[in-house]
Formats: sequence, C-alpha cells, structure tokens
Amino acid sequence: MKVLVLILPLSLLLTGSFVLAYLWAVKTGQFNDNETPAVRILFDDDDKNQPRG
Amino acid sequence: MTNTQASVCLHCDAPTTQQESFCCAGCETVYILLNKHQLGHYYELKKQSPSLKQQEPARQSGQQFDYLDSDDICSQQSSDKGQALTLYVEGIHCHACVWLIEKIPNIVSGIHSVRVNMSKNTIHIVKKPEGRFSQVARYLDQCSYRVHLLDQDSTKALHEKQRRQHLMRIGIAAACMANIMIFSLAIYFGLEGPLKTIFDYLSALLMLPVLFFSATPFFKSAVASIRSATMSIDIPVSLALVIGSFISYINIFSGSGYTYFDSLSMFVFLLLSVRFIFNSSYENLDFHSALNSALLPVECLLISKETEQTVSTASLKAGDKVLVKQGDLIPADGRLQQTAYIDLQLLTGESEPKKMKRGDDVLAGMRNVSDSCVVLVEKSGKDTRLATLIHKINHLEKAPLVELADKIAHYFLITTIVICVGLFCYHSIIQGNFSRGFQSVLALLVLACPCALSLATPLAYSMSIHNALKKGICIQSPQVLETLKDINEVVFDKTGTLTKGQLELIRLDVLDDNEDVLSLLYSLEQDSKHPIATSIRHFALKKNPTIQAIVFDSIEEKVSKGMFATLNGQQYKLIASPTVQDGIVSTLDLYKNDKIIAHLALADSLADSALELIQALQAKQMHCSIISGDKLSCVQAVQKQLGIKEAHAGFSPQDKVAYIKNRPKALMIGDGANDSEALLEATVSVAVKGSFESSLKAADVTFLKNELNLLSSLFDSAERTRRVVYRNFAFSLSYNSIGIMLVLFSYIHPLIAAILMPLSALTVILHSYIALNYVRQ
Repeated sequence: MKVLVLILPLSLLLTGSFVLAYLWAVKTGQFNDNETPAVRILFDDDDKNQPRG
Repeated sequence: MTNTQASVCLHCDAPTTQQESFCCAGCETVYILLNKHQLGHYYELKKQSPSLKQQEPARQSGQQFDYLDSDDICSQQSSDKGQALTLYVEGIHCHACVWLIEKIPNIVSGIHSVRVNMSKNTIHIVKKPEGRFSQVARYLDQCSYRVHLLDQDSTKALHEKQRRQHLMRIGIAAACMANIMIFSLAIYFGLEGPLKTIFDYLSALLMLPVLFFSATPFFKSAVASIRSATMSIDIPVSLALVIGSFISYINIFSGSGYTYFDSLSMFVFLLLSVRFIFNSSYENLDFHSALNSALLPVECLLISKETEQTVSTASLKAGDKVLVKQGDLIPADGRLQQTAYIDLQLLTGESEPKKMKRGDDVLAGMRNVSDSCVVLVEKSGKDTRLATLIHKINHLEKAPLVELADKIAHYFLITTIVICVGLFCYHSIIQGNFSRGFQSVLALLVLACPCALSLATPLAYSMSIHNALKKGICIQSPQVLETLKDINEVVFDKTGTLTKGQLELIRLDVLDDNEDVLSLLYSLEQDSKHPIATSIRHFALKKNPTIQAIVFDSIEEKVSKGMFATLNGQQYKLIASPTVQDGIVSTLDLYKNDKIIAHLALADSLADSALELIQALQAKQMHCSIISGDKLSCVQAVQKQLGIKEAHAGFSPQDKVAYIKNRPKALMIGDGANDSEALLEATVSVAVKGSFESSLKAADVTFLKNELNLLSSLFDSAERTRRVVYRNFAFSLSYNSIGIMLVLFSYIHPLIAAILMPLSALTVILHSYIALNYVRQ
C-alpha cells in the first residue's frame, strides 16, 4: 500500500492539471459555440496550397 | 420533349419555368459570382448538408456599408491580429454557408480571418490594417446574406461572463466530486486505519472549492430570498449544504461519525448542470432582441448640395433630405416631397399601396413602391413611431404565469422546513440525541429537496423548445406549452398569415382573340414600379418565358389611374375596372380604343398549407376565425375558400386588441407591427414570418419557416410535453412523499438519501429525454 504515497499526490496533480486546462478552455471561449466547429471539421482543405487572392 | 421535368433554380432550388436555370436575377448573380471565385464547391456541400432553415431566392440589397469603415466602428474591438468586428448575418441556412463565408479571406483582400457562429448567427471578422469591413459586408450582400450591425449592449458581455463562470463552477464541482467519490468508495468498502483518516482529510480539502466557489450561487440566492421573505428551492439546498458540511467537518476533527462530502458535492454538481442546460436553451433566443434596430435600413441616401451620399440611418437629423429608392423602406419619420405610392403593410397590414401627395406625413418602416422619392426628415432614430412601438413592446412584460411546479415546490419547501424543525426538536430535545437529530434533518433535507420536481419540469420544457426550434418553431416562453391545452379558439390575421401577402394575377379573361393580350400587358407594364405591374409581368413571363416587349409609339403612366399607350395610331389603356367583384382585391380592364379586350383579376392568394391547417384544427373542435384590417370582400373570399365560420373585416389595431381581450381561450396568429399589440393581449400568440423582429418580441411563438402547418405540430408537441411533465410530477411527488415518510417513521441514513436524491433526478431527466426525443406518437 506504500505505493499510494506516490499515487495519491500524482492523481491530485493530474486532477489539478485537468481543471486548469478546462478553466483555460472556458476562459478562451472554446465553449462559446458548440455548433459550428462540428460542421467546420467536415470541410476539405482543398485550397490549402492555393495562393491567397 | 427533352425536358418534361420541372426544373429548379441552380442556386436556391426554387422551382423555375422550364427553360430557366435560375428563378430570379438575384440567384443568377450569386451563382456567377461564386463560380468566378472558384467557389462552386458550395453547391456540392449544400446538397450534402441538411438545411436548417428555408432558403429564399437570392436578393441583394445593394447597400454600400461605408459606415463600417468609420473609425468608431473599427476601433470597437481589436485583437493582436488586427481590428475585429462582429456582425449579425441573416440567411445562414446550412453548413455550406459556413464554408462559403469562411472562404472570404481568399476573395476579399486585407482580411485576416472570418469565423461563423451558427448558434448565434454572427460572424467575427479580423482584418489587416489595409482591409475594409465594408468589402466583406458587400460581398456577403452580393451572396444574398443580409448583414446587420449588432447593438453594442453591455448586458450581453455580462451575460457571457456569467455563462463562463457557470461553466467553471460545474467543472470544479465535477473534478472535486469525482475525486471525493474515489476516496469515499474505498471507505465504503471497509478502509480503516490511518489511510482512512488521510482520505477523509483529502475529501474535506476537496470539498472546500465546491462550497466556496461552485455552490456560491445557491447561498446568494437563498440569502436574497430570505431577505425578500419569499420561498425558493435554494433555501433547503443551502441548508442541506451548510448543515451537511458542518456535521462532516465536526465528525472529521472529532475522528468519529460519518462524512457526507460525497453526497454534497454530487448534489452541487447535478444541480449546477441541470441549471446550465436549462439556461443555455434560452440564450440563443434572447440574442434576437439585439436585432430591433435591424428592422430599418441601416444606411440611406442623403441628399446634400445636389449630391447623394450614403450615410448610416442613425446619423440622420431633422431637416435632412433623404432619397428613398423604389422598393426601399423609408428610414425616418418625415414629409414626402413629391407624390409617391407608399406600401404601409409593415405598419398597418393593408395589402394595397396608398397614394400619398407632397407634404404628406410618412413614417419610418413604410415602403416606397413608386419611383425614387425624396423625404424631408422630421424625426429619426429612437424618436420614430416605429422605434417607440418597438420600445413599448420590448418593455411590456407579459404577466408571468406561475408555473404549477413552482407553486407545488413552494408549499413543499415550507412543509419540509417545518417538518425538519419538528424532527430536530423531537430527536434532540425529547430524546436527547443530537447527532441522530442532525442526521435525520440532513436526510430529510436532501431527500425532500424537490429537485426532480422543480428542475425536471423546466428541463422537459426546454427540451421541447429546443426540438421545436429545429422544426422552425421558436417558442419564447415555456408557459405557452402549458397554456396551449386551454386553447379552443384560433384567431387568424388575414394578410400575410392566411394569405401570402402579395398581389398575384389570378385570372385573365381575353375578350378579343385577335389581340396578343399577353404581350400587350407585358409591354405596358414593363417599366412600371407599381406592385400590380410586377405581378402582371411575372404572370406573362410564366405563360411565355420568351415574351418580347412591344415598343409603343408613346407610353405614359398616370399615377393612380393606369397605363396609357399608343401604337400605330391605336390607343391602349390599362385601368381599374368600375365593376367590383367579390373577394378580388383589384380588377383591371385592358382597353383598345375604348373597347375592353381583356379583363384582369388580382388577388392575394392563400398561403400554401392554410386549408390543411384549418381542416386539422376544425377536426380538433377548434373554433377558427379571421380578423383583418382589409376590405370585407377580400376577407369573405378567404373565409369562403377555407370554410371558416367567423370573419371580421375592417378592424383597426385597436379593434383587434379589444376583440382578443374578450377571448381568454384564444390563440392569435398574425404578423407585422400592426398585430403586435393584439398579439400581446392574446393568451397565446403566434407570429408567422420571422423577419419582423417586433413580432418576435410581441408573440410567444414565432415561426421561422413560412409554413402555417407548423401550428399543428406546435399543438402536438405541447400535448406531448404536458404528458411528460405530468408523469414527472407524479413520480417526483410520490418519491418525495415516500422519502419523508421513511425519514419520519424509521431511520434513514443521509448517505442513502444522498444516493436516492440524484437517482430520482436522473430518472426524471432520462424519462423526459427519452419521451421527448425518441418516442413517436
């Protein structure tokens, strides 16, 4: 059971980092629009190599 | 015959006459424009993606949008990449539109990026220093999207901030809850010794952010309702949280007894989540209110010193002279400087344009249907009558119907708290067992929390509202779903509701077969701006798409009389017929040298699904009636065609208000500002045609698609929702009562209560979800 001494802080650290990542995502507005990104991903980037006009 | 199938427009899929590839010039322009920029892929994408809204034939407004380049607009928002601007764009109807709009940086130079937000119908443009927002707006306009500048409203920013904070609270509560659960699970499985103490302390530590960050809205709201001496569900929630944490912390430090951190954190997480789901379903609806200013044209032509200049409507002042082109809305209240035909439909609902003389007062929102005219501005911006009307509608709160769930929850809560006090006194004072007293009270508070009752009802409503929105029905207050069950009468407005709101040539009697009447009519009306002329031209083109105009020797349009022309010494005239026929809006006669050679009848034709709807409603024993501001003959014609029993003609807006006031069980369906006051008075009001924003504000329900039949599905979905809500009621009430009984007559541990509570809420939520989304009736 001694391994818990290592695992416990690690798990809390992991939780903490996920919470921080989530807070960052909320603050930068990743959850502002839940509809369009799902649509946008479907479009082919066929014109990636074309020069921008 | 090679092409027997009806062809559709290459751009908007509207049916066209057989030889035509496009239904109108607007669609053709867009098609050519897109292909010029190698954006033809749009049409492939469109075929693959489901249409979210009805697509209308393309229509360019030709606005210049120069004001978008002014300094105060450009400097409003900025990011590290450059200046930014958010615009509201109408007409984003499918996924292909997102693709098309986000391709703008490839076409318009100097634009860094354009991002579409489909749920809010906005686009966010970031430009490079050399770029111009007006070019983006013009491009969108050419592609027939309607572009509006958003009201800069500080409440919107605040709202967004609150939403983000709510999301953070949920996230923190979820993370803490999950970890506390892991620790508690080990303890439930019999963990003992020093490890148990460590786990307990860790749980206690993780509970702190839940209590002091995630749960603060409950405490705030509880304090507020205690101050105002009202009952709210947040009071027992807060009580349970405070008492539960208090006992838990005491037990931890004393090293004996139970802790309730797991149940409490779950309680907070579930409550926050359900509230968030409920709030978000309303957010997108609120957003439309920002559009009130979008009713009027945002720009107009100012005449100064013999030159015309595009200015923003907001900058108009009294004394300015504006040029209103044919088909444009008058931007401000003022005086007409010459004779013109004015369409009052937006304001009064009359289907025929009115002739107005020089010096007559015109109001913002009227449409000029004759040649360009000049208006001397008297009142502009917020002082116009249209603006004050919209303001009035926006600030007229509808009397909120107290929801049944809230009422029951209210009494339930009072009872719970009274029982709690009694229970605590019994255990602690009479029996002298304080910890037993605390435990019972906590179990009762958690168990009796009418969570399922007060949250699953709004949840069922918001799910129905969301589903309805997908069908094109925008329900703005959830009470409608409840009120609809009492409705036994449907009151229709005529113009634009039961009818299409546009004059159409419905009959052409040719009295002299030697004459090419069709060509004559087409040629006579070729240059006229009168709405009748437009419908005659459409009719002629439909009959013969290759029709050629005859060149007359002379042609003259006499205002309010008709068309007069001569050809090879023969005189032709097209004037109003002296004989009035039943139900026909206008009758015209075509004369050749004082001899009638053709007879024309024009009418406002019925909306597509009107007849089906009326029959469906009458099958449900609903009483249908029409109230209209139009002439009796027009109203009676519609009444006869639809088989409606009751009809009233010549009603002023005030008459409509009075009529609807006396009918508490009536649903009113109408459109336009003229109906808005009547709509406000109606028990349930439905506005058709989503374009008019003040109807959106005045009515409980707005149809985003131009399909009258949506009314049937509105009734159906209300019925289904009500059933779900009643089942939820029955379940949660019996659950809560049984729970209280258990606590009162035997011993029930707070932990079991804490497991049962979320389970009950979950049952109700799942039931609502399945019943509303998957079960077909």
